[in-house]
Amino acid sequence: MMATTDIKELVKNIDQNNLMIVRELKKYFPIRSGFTDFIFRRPSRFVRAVDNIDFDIPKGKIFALVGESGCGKTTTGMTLIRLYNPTGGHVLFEPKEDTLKDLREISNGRIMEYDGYIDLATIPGKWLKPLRRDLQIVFQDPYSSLNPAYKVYDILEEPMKVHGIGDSKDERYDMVLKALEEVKLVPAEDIANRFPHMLSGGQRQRVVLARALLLNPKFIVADEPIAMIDVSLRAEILITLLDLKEKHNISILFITHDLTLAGNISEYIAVMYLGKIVEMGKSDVVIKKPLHPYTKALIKAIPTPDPSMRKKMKDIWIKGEVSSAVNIPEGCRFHPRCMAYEEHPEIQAKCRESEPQLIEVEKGHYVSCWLYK
Amino acid sequence: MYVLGWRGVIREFMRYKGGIFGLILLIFLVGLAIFAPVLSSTDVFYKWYEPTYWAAQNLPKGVPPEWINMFGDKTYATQAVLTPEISQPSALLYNITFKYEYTADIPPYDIIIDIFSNITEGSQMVIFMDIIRPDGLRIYRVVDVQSDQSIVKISLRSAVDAPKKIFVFGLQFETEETRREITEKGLLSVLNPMDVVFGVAEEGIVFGRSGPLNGEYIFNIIVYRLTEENTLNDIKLTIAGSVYGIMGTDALGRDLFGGIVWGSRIALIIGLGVAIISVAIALVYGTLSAYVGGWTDEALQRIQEFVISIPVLPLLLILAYVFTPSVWNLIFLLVIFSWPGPVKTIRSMALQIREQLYITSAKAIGLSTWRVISRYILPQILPYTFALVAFSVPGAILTEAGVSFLLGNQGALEVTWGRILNDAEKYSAVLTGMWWWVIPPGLMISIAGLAFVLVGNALDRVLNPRLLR
Repeated sequence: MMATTDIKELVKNIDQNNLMIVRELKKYFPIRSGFTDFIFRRPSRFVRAVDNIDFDIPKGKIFALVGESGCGKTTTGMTLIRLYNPTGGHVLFEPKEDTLKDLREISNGRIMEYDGYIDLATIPGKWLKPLRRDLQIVFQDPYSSLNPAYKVYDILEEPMKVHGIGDSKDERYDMVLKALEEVKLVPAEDIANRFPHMLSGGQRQRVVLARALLLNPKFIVADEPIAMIDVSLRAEILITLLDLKEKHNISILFITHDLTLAGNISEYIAVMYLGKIVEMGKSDVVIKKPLHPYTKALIKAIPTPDPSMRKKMKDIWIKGEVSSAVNIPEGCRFHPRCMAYEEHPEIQAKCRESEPQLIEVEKGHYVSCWLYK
Repeated sequence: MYVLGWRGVIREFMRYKGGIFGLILLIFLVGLAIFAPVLSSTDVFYKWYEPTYWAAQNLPKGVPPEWINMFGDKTYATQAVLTPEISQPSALLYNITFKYEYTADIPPYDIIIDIFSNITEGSQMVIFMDIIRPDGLRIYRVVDVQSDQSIVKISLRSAVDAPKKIFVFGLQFETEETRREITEKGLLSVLNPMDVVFGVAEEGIVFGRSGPLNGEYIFNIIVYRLTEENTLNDIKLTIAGSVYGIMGTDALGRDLFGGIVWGSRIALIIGLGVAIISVAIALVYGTLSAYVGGWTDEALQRIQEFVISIPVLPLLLILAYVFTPSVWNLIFLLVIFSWPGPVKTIRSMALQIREQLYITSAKAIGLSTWRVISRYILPQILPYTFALVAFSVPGAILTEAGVSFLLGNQGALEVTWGRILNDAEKYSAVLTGMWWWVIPPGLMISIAGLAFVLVGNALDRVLNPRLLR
């Protein structure tokens, strides 16, 4: 994968099959420095939540981002749709025609366009409003993602009001009912008049989905959308999401810690560890032929409902715990936990001293490990 | 709140006995404030600091409330306005008689005559009064004045020669020795002429030791006019009681009940006004600080900490002295110093809400900062601000009372509890034992504070999201 900091180089050959092209994306959170730090002029420190990642999200496909909690996958999602301002990097995105028109208007034509793509990472905050229609997010926790003071109808009307969709209140009401039916919340009129606390977790998540869909987005970040829902309801929500994706031709960044789930629903998988992508490729390839020791460990850790496997579960494929994103280990950031590091003394020095790059080992399958140099 | 609904909030609130008690106190206070014009006259409010108004009321000065007659074995004479019997024996002469049945043990405070006439310029009226006691003794010419005024007020206690004449009457029953002692020591100025008028005619009458002489007293007044044009329009004789009203009077002859009643209105206006405005400011300030964050938050918090660390009372005293401490000025000044109080609480609540996902969702939808604050964060905090208002009221009432107590009215018209206490202090009410001047306003200040604290505590339990079970 060719990495470049120069946007001019980057836009020379845009692959029009991709909706989003992410290059060298960084998101660092400054750690609040105390008074003594100021006195002794200690350098300010950062949590490097997302540290230089590259990937492409193809149009109309599901791209899964997999990793342990705290590895930066949610931050990546939030940074992509500018809920966080990135520290650095580029995110090329192809907005809808209407959105682009509004963008030109709101920026007085000063918006930089590259073959219909724009750079999400560098666009000023005040121009973002039209883009919100194209970029939506569904959160993990349906219990806190709905305003408890609003009825479902008000929650769903809000995005339309903000973006001037629907001419009259009646028209918007019809649209709300349609959206509720689309996410299979029936009877829609009854649901529309309820407060969120009167709904179950699954129902709430459907409301969240309906809210995201009302703006007719091109791209949705689905941040562990089923992790907090009763196991029995998960499949239904997932099927609704996939149906809607097909119907509206939406690209989805599916964030999950569950590699099996990612393998089942997504076309592409990227595995993240401590703010970096360690392996990336087509789902079946990554699942069936994992290359990185971390991916291997994750796959080995998948529990199988088979009592005869009990013995096997005892094998350890990974050691220790995730390091802090403040003090990222030098060299390969995974090496303190890596089993392969111990099995291959010949690369140990490299692992300790320098960071491996994400390289294309075979067509469309990338890995960042010194084992594959 | 959104889970409970209004009815739920009321139901939850009713579970707290302290809250109900506070609510009862609060209803009592609000009732006083609302019905103040009925319970007392509007003039009491507007003319509290006008001595002429109070002089016209003929109230006794510094007397305890009437209900003390229910306790103790001695009864005090109560306030009475007598009706005249007027006859006109000749064209230029009015003969007026008042009858008064004296049954108490402690004599009245004063006897006051009001005469209203349409006397013409250059003309005069001559007024005489005799007092005929139940024992048949007569005090001659207690009043003996000429007047060219259309309104004449004669107080037997404070007139120039009336007390002298009364004492002369009394001294005839005393021994030679006592008489000499009185004149030598100049005791007449500290003795009460009313003891003589209403005392048994025997030794010790001048000192009020001879006991009360109960029975019918007749006040016989003769008004002689020089010309026929001078007509007597009205004449009134007031027996100023040695007890008065529900709460007695102060040393200036003001009805303290009226002051207390109207004071409740001022206390509530100042307390609630300051609390509501301060909490409203704190609500916007704290929410903005929490939501915007970063340097703005840092700056706003330092400003808040600066203001809250200013010692309020001395500064308020100076400011209230410079401006007239009228109700509106006081509210304004108090708000300046009390808005930082609830800021930290509100900020911490807003910080919590800010991290909720629905706020992030709102940003993802493209809502403006202002709309997120006003529609998503403020409504969440709003229910709890009721508790914050209740908590802020006592502080405002106490500070107002403190400033008023230390400063007095300084030209402001309204009577407040603190200012009643200021007057009490000025006239050393505590040293002279005028408890009715000190305890009621002090008690009312405590009751007002207590009512809001109790209601606030109960509301806090019901509405504070962190205490909800």
